[in-house]
Order: sequence, then C-alpha cells, then structure tokens
Amino acid sequence: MKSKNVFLDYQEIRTILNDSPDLMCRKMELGRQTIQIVFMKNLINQEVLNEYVIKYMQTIPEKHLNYTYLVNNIPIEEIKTENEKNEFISSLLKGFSYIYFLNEKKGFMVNCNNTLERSIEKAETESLVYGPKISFTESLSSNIKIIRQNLNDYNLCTDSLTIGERVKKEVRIVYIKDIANDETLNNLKERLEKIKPDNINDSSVLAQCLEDDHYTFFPQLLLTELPDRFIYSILNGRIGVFMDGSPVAIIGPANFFSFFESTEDIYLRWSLSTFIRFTRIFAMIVSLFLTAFYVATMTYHFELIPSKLLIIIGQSRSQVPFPPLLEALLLELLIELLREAGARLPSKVGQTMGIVGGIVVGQATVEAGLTSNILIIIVAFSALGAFLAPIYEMGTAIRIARFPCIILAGLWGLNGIMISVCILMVHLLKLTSLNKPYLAPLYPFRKEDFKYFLFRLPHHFYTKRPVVNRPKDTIRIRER
Amino acid sequence: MKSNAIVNAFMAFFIIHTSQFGMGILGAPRIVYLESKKDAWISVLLSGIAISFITWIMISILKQNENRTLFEIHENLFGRMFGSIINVVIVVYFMAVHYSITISYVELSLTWGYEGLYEWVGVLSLVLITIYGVSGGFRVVAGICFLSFIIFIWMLFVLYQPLQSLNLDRILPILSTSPTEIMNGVYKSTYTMLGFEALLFLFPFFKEKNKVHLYSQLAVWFTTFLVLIITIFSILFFSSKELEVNIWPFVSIISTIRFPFIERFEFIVVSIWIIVIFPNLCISLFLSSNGVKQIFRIKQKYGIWIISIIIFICSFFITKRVDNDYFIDKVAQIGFFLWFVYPVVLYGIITIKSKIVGRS
Repeated sequence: MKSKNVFLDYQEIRTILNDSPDLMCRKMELGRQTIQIVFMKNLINQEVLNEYVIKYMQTIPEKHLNYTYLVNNIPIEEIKTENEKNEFISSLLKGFSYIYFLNEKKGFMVNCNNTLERSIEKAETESLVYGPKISFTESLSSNIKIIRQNLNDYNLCTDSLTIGERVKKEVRIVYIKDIANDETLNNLKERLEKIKPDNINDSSVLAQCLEDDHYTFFPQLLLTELPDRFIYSILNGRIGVFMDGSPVAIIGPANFFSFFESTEDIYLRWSLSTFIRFTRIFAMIVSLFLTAFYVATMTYHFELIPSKLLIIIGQSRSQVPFPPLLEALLLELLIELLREAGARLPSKVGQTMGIVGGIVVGQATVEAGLTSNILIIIVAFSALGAFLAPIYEMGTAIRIARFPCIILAGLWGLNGIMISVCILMVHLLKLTSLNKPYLAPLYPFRKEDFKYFLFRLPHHFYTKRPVVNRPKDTIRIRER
Repeated sequence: MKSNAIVNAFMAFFIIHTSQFGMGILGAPRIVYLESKKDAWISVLLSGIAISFITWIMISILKQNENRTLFEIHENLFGRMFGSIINVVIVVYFMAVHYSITISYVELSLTWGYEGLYEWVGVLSLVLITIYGVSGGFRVVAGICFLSFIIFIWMLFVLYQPLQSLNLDRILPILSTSPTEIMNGVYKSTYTMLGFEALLFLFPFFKEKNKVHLYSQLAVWFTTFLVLIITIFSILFFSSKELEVNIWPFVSIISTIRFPFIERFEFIVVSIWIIVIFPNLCISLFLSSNGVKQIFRIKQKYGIWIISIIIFICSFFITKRVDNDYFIDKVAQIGFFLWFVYPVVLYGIITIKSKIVGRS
C-alpha cells in the first residue's frame, strides 16, 4: 500500500487524539492567510515555537506567506512535508508542530521537540578505576553522539530500525562496516525484524528476545553501559545494538569468557590483568562447586578430609540438627535474601542491612547451632565469587546454577558433582550466541584468541583481531 | 552429497585418545600381568605397535572412501542387504561396549564410596547425561572429548607421589617370560586400547583429511604411552601377589596419595572418572545410533533413545562381579576380531575389488 499525503485540520486531529487537553491550536490571521499551528503543549520547546515559527511568520512580507515559501525557508532544521496518517499522529506526539494553511488546505510539520534527558553521569553497575568514567544514558541520540565522538570512523554504521507494535521505539544497530561479519549482521537483523511485541521495556528485554536459547541460565549477549567497552567490542568485530530509552547497550556475539573480561583489564598492566582474569574464572568455579563439595563430603565422604581438619568441622557441626544438604540450602537462601534486600533498599539503609545481615544474623545462627562456622565461610566465599564476574548477568547465572549442583551433591555425593560438571559441559557446548559457539575460543579451539579471552599480553602482541568474531579486516596493528 | 566436515583435523587426537582411554586402564595392568608377568609392559608396547599399524590400514581404507563412514562403506561394498547384516553386528558391538563401560564404572563407584546403592541408579544417571550429550550432534561430542581431556590430564601429575614407593627390582630381569605369554598379554591388553576404531566412522566429519592420519597416530601413541606408564607403575609398585588380586591397581596406587588438605584422593579420582568415561559413552552411543540410522533409515535421535532404553533395562540383569567379568571378556574378544583382524581383511577385499573394477 502506498502511503498517501494527508492534510488534517484541527478538528480531525482532535478526534483522533481523544480530545487530549494537551492539544493546542494557535490560530493566526496574517493578511489574507489564516494559519493554524497545532502542537502538544508539554512536548514542545516553547521558545523554539515562539522565536522561529511564530515570530518568523510575523516578520516576513505578506506575499511570502504561503505553503511553498515557508517549507523552503522556515529556520528550523527538521521539517516533514509528506505524512501518512499514523506517522503524522506519532510525529505530533514526538513534539512536532503542525503548520496548516486553511486557505490552501495544506500543511507541514516542524520539529520543535523537547525531550527530557538525564545528564551524562558516571557508570554505576560497572565501575572502573582507570579509563573513561562516562556511561550511556537513556537518550539514543546522546548515546550515538558519545560513540561517534570516540570512534571517529566513516565506516561506522548505525542502521536504524523501529520495534514494537504499539509503542514504537527506535533501535540502532552499530557496527563498523569493514570489520563486522556480514553473516552475523544479517542474522541479527533477521532476528530484530522477527520481534513483534506490543512494547519492549528495555534493551535487556530486547537482548532476551534476541538470544539463541531462551531457556538457559546463561546470558548469551553482553549488556553494558560503558562506551569504552562498547567501542572496544565493536572494533573487535562485534555488533552493538542501542534502544531508545535504555541506558544499556547490547553487544553480540558474546562468548562465555567475554563475560569475565572487564575493560579495565586493558588499562591495567598485563601481568595484573592476567592474574585478575584467572582469579575471576577460579572464583566462578569455586562459587559453583565449593558448597556442593562441602555437602558431598559431609554427607558421603568424611574420609576425604584430613583428620585435623575433620575435628574442627566435626566440632562446629556437632550442634547442627540438619543434614548438610538442608543446612547448605538454608544458608544459601539466607545469603540470597540479604543480597536481594541490599539491592532493593535505599542505599543508606542497605549498608545497615548488610551489617545486620552479615554479622549479626550470621553470628547468631552459628551460636544458635543452626549452621556450622565452616559452612558460613564457604557460603560467603562462594557468594563473593559470583560477584567477581564483571558482567552482572553472569554473576546471577552462576548463583542460580549453584543450586542444582548442591542438590545433586546432596543426592549422590562427589559423583553428583561430576554429573553436574558433565551436564554443565554439554550445556555450554550446545549454547550459541548469534550462531557462534559459546565456549569459543576453548572449543572450537583457537589458541590465537586466548590472549583476548583467557589472559592478557603486552599490547604489541595484539596484531590481529579475535578470530572467533570472524572479522573481515583481521589486522589491528600493521607491521611496517 | 552434503559435506558434514565440522571439526578440525587436530580434534582427531582428542577424539581418538579419549575414546581409547577409559575404564580399561584401571584394570589393565593386572589383566596383562596375569598373562605376561614382569614383561607386561612389552606386551603393551607391542599392542601399541599393532594399533599403529591398524590405524594406517584404516586410513588407507578411508582414503579411498573419503566421505563415507564404515557403515556406508559396507553398504556400498556388499550391497544393502549383506552390508546391513555386518552393520547390525557392529551396532550390537558398540552397544555392548557402551554397556560394559557403564556397568564397570557403576561397579567401581559402588566399591569406592557408594556401597549399597542400586546399580540402576548409577546406570540411569550415566545414561541420561550421555543422551543429553549425544543429542547435541557430533560437534558437541567432539567438544566433550576435548574438554574431558583438558579436565582430566592434569590428574596424572599426582603420580609423582607414589614414585618414592617404586621398586625397580620388580621389573627385572627383562624378557623372563616366554614369547607365547607375551603374545597372550598383547591379546589381553586390547580391551584397554580399543576405541581407535572410532576413526572408521568419524572420518567424514574431519576437515583436513590428509592431516587426520598424523593426529590419529599421535593419539594412539599417546594412549599407548599412558597405558605403558601405568602398567610399569603397577608392576614396580605392587608385589606379584598383590597385583594379581587387585582388580583396579591404578586406583590402589592413587589411594596412597595424600595432600595436606585432602586425604583418600582416590575418591576424587573415582568420581572424576565419570568425566573420563563420558567421552567413551558418548562416542559409543553416537556410533551405535549412527549405525541404527544407517540400517533402518530413521532419525538418529530415535536410535539414541532406543539404545539407551535397552542399556538401562539390561542393567537390571547383570549385577554380579563374575557376570561383569565374563561380559567384558566377551566384548574384548569380539572387539579384537572386529578391529584387529577385520580391518586387514576389509582392506584386502577393497583392494581386490578396486583392481577388478579397474580392469573391467
């Protein structure tokens, strides 16, 4: 269907907008012309309307007061002359003003919108010691501006798309044309076009809609609010997605290990970054299996523990009336409660909550003989381990994945843990992110990418972009 | 024909090595020792050489049929009817291998730490994770082989501890057993070394076909090396009487290992052995279900489920140590004829046939 130009007058607009009290109409009679200016009161910038539309029309000579002259000469950057009915209304709701010539029965729209924006602030969820502190905001245009400012390359593409049936939101796919892999890009675009909900609240919802496997614990796309992380990923051949109204950008394809890298790893010296990265992965393993290991040994394999240690554990457990599985689940639940309470409460109360929860409740449960000291140490340690993942989503995934391990350990001891390792192994092998293997570069084995994802080397080693993203232009540093 | 080459050639190393290395290694030193005594390690070395030769034969067969698995080669060579009969034998063999691994592991775990548990519980958990693994297709199975290798291989370094208790006199003098006994030892060591036959069925999946031979040779030699080391360790570690009655000498060696934070290390090793046999299980289930797919022209997932259910039901019947031993012995025998003798015969047939076809 071909879109038709419509020129609505005030009454028609009024009925469509359900007699909205915000809808305003200013009628001006200038000479022979009668001009209506229709706009939504709270959505426009009044100064712009007064200065550049009304004043301008009053000052120009009367012979110029017609549709054609004004369309060509009005001093406003963005005007719309062709309008299909739905788009007309949505433009009006975005803050355009409609200038309608009653005599000619023709009109056009000028942009004088005034959106509410938060100023650009420091990143909250991903904090850094070194590196730029700036973070994305809810406004798409300022996000694009940040990216353009920091990544001054004419090959940077920001393809625009609209998503949502009722609430239309603009989505931008950001990539560098001669680096990003075409197959991945097309794949992403296809998926974006398939999404047809009423409304998408946030880009994290969009990320969940874009994922390959909707049922898994593990996130398959990176969510970040840091422009430097975004730019780093784009330059390494990934593709980013922005959504209007969300301060979080989506980056894909992601692999398992990229959830354990922070941009700070680039800023710090290689030796420390490597150490920190290994620590993160080690912490993840500990966080997954340490409580399970405690449950398994306490339930089935006392023999594993050296006798000196066994005495300590035995003493601390002597008062506990529960089987180890129940004891561990209880304490894990307690930690989760504290965490959730800390996250939801206002920040001032939250700190008190942490102290009350961590020290008072922990101490009291031990003294009451409900849990053993050792288990408190273990649970606290594994909770810390989960928070070490720089991407918050991965931390939550690990926290959830811990529970099946604990239950299996309670059922079958060490064999249960090993079975959960097998299941986890197969699961991670099966996952893909935008059709790229999730466990890369470990499997499929790409040893040249280890320096990107598992450890860091001094910067002159990074002559090639990571192979797992399949970039078109593979070379980062050209040798002379 | 659609090319389903999906893994790199070097993966052949991990796939073949992990499908060889499994339950057999735990008991192999004793079984070989019973035949060839102090010179058991010579038997292992000889069977390594034999396997290396067979691998070469297999590669020669496969080079002539680049995109075919052995199942398809059979159909092509002997016709649909007769080829399918041979394929059925092979499928049954792989099911038996799968079953023998499962029950021998369950038996092991019941001995070390899980006394009194019903067999079917262990079998069920193994069967379920195997189904989950194999249903991901060959890419996932290859990944399992690779990851299992990485997770397990560092475990061998714990063997530095028993080094002190080795007694070099126990292996001397070399060559004190008769050649017949050594050859019997070679024959007995085959169950441990079996698994390299997977190459015959997986060759079409590899990308750079000309490199596969190198990596398969590396894999079989690496396995031989490990078996050799563990055999020598067992001979040096135990006295003759001890070794003859110890069903799992390797686990007994490990049980002497102690760390300041962990005692009874063998419990951990026995549990980790799930990860070691996991590729074995996946490969044998993958191959047998692939065979079912080829024979009956049905989807592979039906094959996976049917075979798994059969394995699970069987686990209710063979529960005694004696039955297990008998069963594993038979599997080893059939395996010997299928994969040590048959490839040579097949190679002969293929060469003769191609000459006849070439002449006419």
